[in-house]
Amino acid sequence: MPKRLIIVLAALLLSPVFVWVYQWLQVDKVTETATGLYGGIFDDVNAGQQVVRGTPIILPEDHLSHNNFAVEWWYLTANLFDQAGNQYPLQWTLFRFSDFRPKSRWSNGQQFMGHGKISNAQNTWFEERFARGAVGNAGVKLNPSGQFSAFIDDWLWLSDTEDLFPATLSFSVDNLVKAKLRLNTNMSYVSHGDKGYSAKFSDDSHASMYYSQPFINLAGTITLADKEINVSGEGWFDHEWSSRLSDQNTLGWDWFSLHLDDGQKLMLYNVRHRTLADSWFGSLISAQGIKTSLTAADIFAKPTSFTPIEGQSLPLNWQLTIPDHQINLSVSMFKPDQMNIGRFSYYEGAVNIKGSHTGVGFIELTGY
Amino acid sequence: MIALQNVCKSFQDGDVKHAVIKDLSLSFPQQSSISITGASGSGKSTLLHLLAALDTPDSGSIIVDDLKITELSTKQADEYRKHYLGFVFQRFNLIDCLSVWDNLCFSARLTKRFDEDYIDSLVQRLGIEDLKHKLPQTLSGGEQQRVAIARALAHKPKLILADEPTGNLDDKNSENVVQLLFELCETLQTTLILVTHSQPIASSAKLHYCLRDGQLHPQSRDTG
Amino acid sequence: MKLDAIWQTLTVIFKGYKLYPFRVFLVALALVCACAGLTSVYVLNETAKTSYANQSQPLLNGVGRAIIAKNGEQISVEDYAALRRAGANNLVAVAQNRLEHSSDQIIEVLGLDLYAMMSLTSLLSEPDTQQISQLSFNNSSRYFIHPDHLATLTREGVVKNNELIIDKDGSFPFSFSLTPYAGTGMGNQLIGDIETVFDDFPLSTISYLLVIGEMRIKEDALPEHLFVRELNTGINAEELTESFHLNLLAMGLLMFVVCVFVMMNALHLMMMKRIINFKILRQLGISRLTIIYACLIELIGIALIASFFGTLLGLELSSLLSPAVNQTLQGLYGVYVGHSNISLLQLFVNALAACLIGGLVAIILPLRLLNQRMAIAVTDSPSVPSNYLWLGGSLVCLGLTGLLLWLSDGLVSAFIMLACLLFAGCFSLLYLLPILINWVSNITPVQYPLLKWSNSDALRISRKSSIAFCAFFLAVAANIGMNLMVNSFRVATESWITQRLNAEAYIYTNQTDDVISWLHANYPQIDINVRQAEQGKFHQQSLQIRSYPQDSADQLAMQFDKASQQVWQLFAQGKGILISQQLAFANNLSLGQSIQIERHSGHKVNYIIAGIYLDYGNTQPQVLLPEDAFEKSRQGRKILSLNKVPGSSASISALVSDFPTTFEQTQIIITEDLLKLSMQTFDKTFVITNGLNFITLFVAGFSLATSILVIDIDNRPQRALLRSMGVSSLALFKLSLVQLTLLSMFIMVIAAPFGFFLSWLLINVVNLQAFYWIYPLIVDPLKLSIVFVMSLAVLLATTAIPAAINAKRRPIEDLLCLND
Repeated sequence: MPKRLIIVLAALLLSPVFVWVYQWLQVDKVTETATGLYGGIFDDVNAGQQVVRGTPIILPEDHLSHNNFAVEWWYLTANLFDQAGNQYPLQWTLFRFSDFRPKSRWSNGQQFMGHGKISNAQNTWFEERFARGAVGNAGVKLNPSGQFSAFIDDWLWLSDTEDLFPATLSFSVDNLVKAKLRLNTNMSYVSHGDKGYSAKFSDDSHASMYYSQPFINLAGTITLADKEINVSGEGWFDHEWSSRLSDQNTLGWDWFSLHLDDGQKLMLYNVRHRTLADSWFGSLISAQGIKTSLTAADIFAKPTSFTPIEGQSLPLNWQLTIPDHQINLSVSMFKPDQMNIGRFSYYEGAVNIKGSHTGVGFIELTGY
Repeated sequence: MIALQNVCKSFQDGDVKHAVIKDLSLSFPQQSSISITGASGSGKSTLLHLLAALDTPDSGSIIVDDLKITELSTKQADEYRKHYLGFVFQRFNLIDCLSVWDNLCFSARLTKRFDEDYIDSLVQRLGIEDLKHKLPQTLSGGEQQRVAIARALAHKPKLILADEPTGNLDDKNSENVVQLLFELCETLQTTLILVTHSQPIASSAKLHYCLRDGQLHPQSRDTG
Repeated sequence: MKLDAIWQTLTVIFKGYKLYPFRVFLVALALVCACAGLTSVYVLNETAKTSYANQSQPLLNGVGRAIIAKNGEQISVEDYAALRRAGANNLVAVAQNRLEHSSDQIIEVLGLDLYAMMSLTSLLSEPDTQQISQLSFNNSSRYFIHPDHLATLTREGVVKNNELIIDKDGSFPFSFSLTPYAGTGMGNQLIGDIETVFDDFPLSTISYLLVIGEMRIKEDALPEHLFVRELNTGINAEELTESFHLNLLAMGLLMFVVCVFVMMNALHLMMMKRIINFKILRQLGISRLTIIYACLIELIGIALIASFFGTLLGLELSSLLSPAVNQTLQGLYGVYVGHSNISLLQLFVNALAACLIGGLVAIILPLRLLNQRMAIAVTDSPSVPSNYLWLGGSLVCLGLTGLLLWLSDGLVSAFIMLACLLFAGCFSLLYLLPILINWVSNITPVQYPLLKWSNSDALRISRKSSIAFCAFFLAVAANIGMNLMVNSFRVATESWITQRLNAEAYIYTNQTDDVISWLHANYPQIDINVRQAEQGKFHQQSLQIRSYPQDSADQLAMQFDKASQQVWQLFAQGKGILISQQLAFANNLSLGQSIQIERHSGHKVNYIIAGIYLDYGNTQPQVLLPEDAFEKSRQGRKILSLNKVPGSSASISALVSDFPTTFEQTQIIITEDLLKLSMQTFDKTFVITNGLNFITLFVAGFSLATSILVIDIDNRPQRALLRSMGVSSLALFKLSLVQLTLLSMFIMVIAAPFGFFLSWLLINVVNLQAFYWIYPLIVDPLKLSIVFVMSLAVLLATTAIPAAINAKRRPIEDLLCLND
């Protein structure tokens, strides 16, 4: 076959490929230029009031929003069980960010982001919502009756009083799964760190005000595919606010909230940094509600396996040891696919505990 | 009288210039028959084109009956050809969408010299009476050339230029056609200048020239 | 080796290009034009259909509804928040604003609640959520604009260097920095976050709330001042706009068919030029099949190149036409269409397929002729089909047309009927043209030999260019048909609207009561009539129900298609109803028939059809009831008609000047201006049709002219002969123009009756089935003359310059071919 004919025919036949390449080169590429963890949204942006060691946490006033600070969240995690023993991990979080923009009809300097998640063994339902503070569809405040409320659209945490508990939490995920739960506790709140002042790095350069309520009893219904399921379980609530949680060299953090079978509660927190050493700290709370602060010297934590999830290699299984408190735990995931895929993606998953204690809890992994 | 004075004509072929007519000066008598032979590419057709004012020489002048045709404008040249000349080519002599009769009358009507009796006499002389209403494509080569001759003479021109009129014909037809051409020109007292490859045909003319090296060399009627 | 032989043949073909580049160029150009027309129409239609199917709005899909404030009310930010808190978190607030540029261009600016959109990730596709996410956090970009719209505004000088500068009051300019972004469903707007728009437009309000997906709260739970409106999307929009898109497709196909004709003609001319070389190849032992394969490979190559350029040209054409098309669709049908995001590769593949099909169809006849010519030794003239064959073909096609007219029950059969009619026309042309030319030639006095030659020569031209003549005929007939149809529609519309708009001025407002109060206070001598409107149902289909006053002037203003003798008595008594032509035709209703309609309240009422009135341009069925049949509901009282009280000294023009600008979303317009605006809108609607008509005529005219010119090249010996006889080149040039004029006059005379019939079919069959209204066919001699003059001008314009160039050639150049 004449070579020139082959070349001509090949050029003709390949012309659609040239067209495709031309088109591909023209496609707008969506690029994000992020700086730091989650686009630097938690970084020290030289705006917002700083937390100061020694500032007391006063409740119930401090349950409300601290608008002068850059970032804040009200974070609930719970492991619910139905009568057949099926597990339904649940997460409900309301984030507040100060954008420090001029006030207008649509903006009051605050933005809100809500995360709602309900899982079972087979599925995970996750929804992310956004709102502007001035519109009126999101906020944290006392309603005219003096009840505490935290809401975004129709997701509502409404307490009976100005305190957080008892309360009713109702939210839906993608209009497919609904939860309506009563939240109760009769235990005191736990302030982490130094009376609520929680330093994130070993050099004390970044800190937040951080308190929790780890002794929450939840009961209510989850509606799944139009079927109502009665559930109950234990929950953990965090409220944290700061203007300086991380910097451009922060790689991410690992966070554990564990309910042990002997009634103890364990919170562990590790911030991973580019230049500084891993910073482990935590709180061990007795069944009576007495908190013992844990430092890096007290905590031995090691991931036992990494699993590829959504393009990231995540340490889903851990060995946690706190020798001084005879705690030696194997923490494993309820199920691998518990990634929260949103504007800021992170892993938030229910865990099961074995070892010196059994129990359930939650793990949060960011920045992998 | 037709007079050529110091006529030069050359053609450019790339970087080379070919001179086909070099400083030619010659006169042709009126009402005579003149044949011109020469090798292929010698410039015979070029000479005819110059005489027809279809082309202009590089230098020199051509005078036809006191009319300097080398200085005519385009419009004047068209008029000269229309009224003064008749042309017979080797082929494509006839307008293919007109009948023979319309072809015959074409130039005559164009010059407003239409004379039906005269054209009829030409038709008789040339033996093409039966062809009057036919279309040219249906005629044989010889028939077409006879019609072409009649057409060229129909408007009573003073000068007939024939460029290889028998080039496409066989010997017998050639002889007939040329014979008719010479006879008619003589009868109608029309000057005939005929270009041909054929020596016998050339010898039939009163004057025979050979175009060679850009010059017209007179030939005796017996020479080949 | 056979492939060697094919390659050798291809080499001969390619080397021949420099000898007849024009013919090759014409083949490629015809394919490029065919492709471009079809591609542009495909892009316009597919973009619209995708928008309907996706229920597209700017940056959103799946939008079938909107929440709107009732007459005179507004949607507040508090309303919005309350609805979201009640569970309707799938709402997106939209603020619509308009900017008036110094060039009188109106630029639409949309503010969308991007935060609400970011919350809808489960309802939006992945690319949409990505782009919304980018837009909402991209602080450096305030407004986004689709690149096609940006190109249009830049072309019009409104935008320079991606900046839109509005000089608000001449004191200082207000600039908008624009970022081009080809987002889903983006149309001819600037899009920004609603917060940005509220900042830049202090008087801005929430115009409406788009509902993504299904309603998440019950309509009853909406505040009293808000209601849900169904948007024209999905299947509803497809059905509404079907005829419009078919019209576009028909134009594109017509252009394609004409270009295929042009290509066939050009291929024919090209093959005839090659026949000598092909015969030599045959003598050298190359088979006919090899030569045919080589020609087909050549065609595929040309098709590949042509489809590439045709696709790009088609895309450019569609982006030029899409603003007008989208505006027309929005104006006529209330549907929203964004810009296209169709894959270039898909378009190229479609174009290539069309090119190959068109090319193969076009090459059949020339190849057949080539095959025949290569098989015989002598250069015989190809046998000319008997003229009676064309007559027979014409009669058969006319018969089919008649049969389909009798049986036609749908748009598809109607289009087939139109095609049969056009084929009948082509055959008639091929039959009649030689007869007419011969007749003219015979009657030409012999005293004019050049004219006689020219007229006789026209027969030769018509035989050699029969395909090109058919293409030109089709274009002229289609132009006549379309122009007459549009003109008839225009006349009917103008007459109807002039009669119907019998008030002196009209007010369109969302603040009816406030406006009425103002008028009573300031212009008590102005008579105000409020036009009531509501949505009802007829046989489960949406129905417009409107009020109509009954005084004598309004009775005279009504234009009926049919009316009973007691129409107004029945109407006044509340027994009779007036229905629009659309409703009557669509449901086979007639005078005197009893119908039941469902009011907005759900109440069903029976009426007798007292009159069927004209309602051109309204794609919705409509009925008219007396004013007292309406409750004074707040919805649907947006139109006020104004007249001076007889005998008063009130001045409408003074009222218009005094009318305050503080009433929001209110417009006052005197009837004369309204009429002008209506007719301007009408004309704009048909801009595309007119444009495509002209392009088709130009392409066909160009093809015919070039075909004639190419034949003329082959006619050089005849030209040389005439030059040798003293005929001047100017005379030949004039004669060629006379020849063309004669031929085009004949074509137009033959095309005219077919054009009239085409127009009649378009009005009484296609239009009736598509829109359910008809109007009388008006043959305007002026319009017809314009088509004729334009057709002739196109032909002469495309011929004149090359003919003039030909004429400038020295006679010796023509003569040189005589002795070849």
